[in-house]
Amino acid sequence: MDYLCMLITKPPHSDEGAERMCGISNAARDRSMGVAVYLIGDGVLCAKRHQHGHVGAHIKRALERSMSVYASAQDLRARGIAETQVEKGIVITEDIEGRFLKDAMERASRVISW
Amino acid sequence: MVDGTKTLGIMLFTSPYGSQDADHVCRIAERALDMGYGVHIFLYGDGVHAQLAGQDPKMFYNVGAALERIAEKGGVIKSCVRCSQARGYVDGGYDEEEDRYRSSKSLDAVRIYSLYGFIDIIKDADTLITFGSS
Repeated sequence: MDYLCMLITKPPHSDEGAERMCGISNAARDRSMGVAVYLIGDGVLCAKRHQHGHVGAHIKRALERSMSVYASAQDLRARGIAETQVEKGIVITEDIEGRFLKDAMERASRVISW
Repeated sequence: MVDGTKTLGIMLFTSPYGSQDADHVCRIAERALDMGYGVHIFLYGDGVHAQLAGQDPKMFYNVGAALERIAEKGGVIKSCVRCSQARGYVDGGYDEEEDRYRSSKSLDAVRIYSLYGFIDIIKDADTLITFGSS
């Protein structure tokens, strides 16, 4: 199975980066690709529960569609976001770089970063 | 740990401290080197400001110090000569022996290089990621 690895550093709502991630990851899943989304920096704001707009809804849908979503524990802490505020199903990891690299270098057929 | 035959290419298009892009580049590069991968970084556009020697942030992650650590661990860091010249980093011609353009303002860890350095990374990297482009 082709596998797409996406690294998101952009917050939801302030520009189109996270929105593009939503569209592309969903389209990739429609084409039967495996998808993993890595949220780092301001990208971890996409992980928050109860968001209005497309990004929050997409993250929920992505998890329902068996996409893997990871968020940096360090970047969540830096922004004061507690684990309880993160959408259920998102994997919070202290070693986001290591997880991302393992996927990006060994498994993914394509890597996209924003 | 991996066998070290794979190389990660990273392009940085934005300056340090204005955003976290340069932090992400350095953290991922260091982790990749620790895991045994090769790392090639190319600084382009405002990304060349990451090469400035003497960075001393009081509250932020020190990008200059991180680039020095990356080079010590075997990472290759190049910056675009045109972008560097435009921003005042180049103060000499091309040094054939060192295979770099001369600069007294840049970190020794970063080699100011022609745009072919950029193309080489695109060609040679097993995986390429970019930071700062939209």
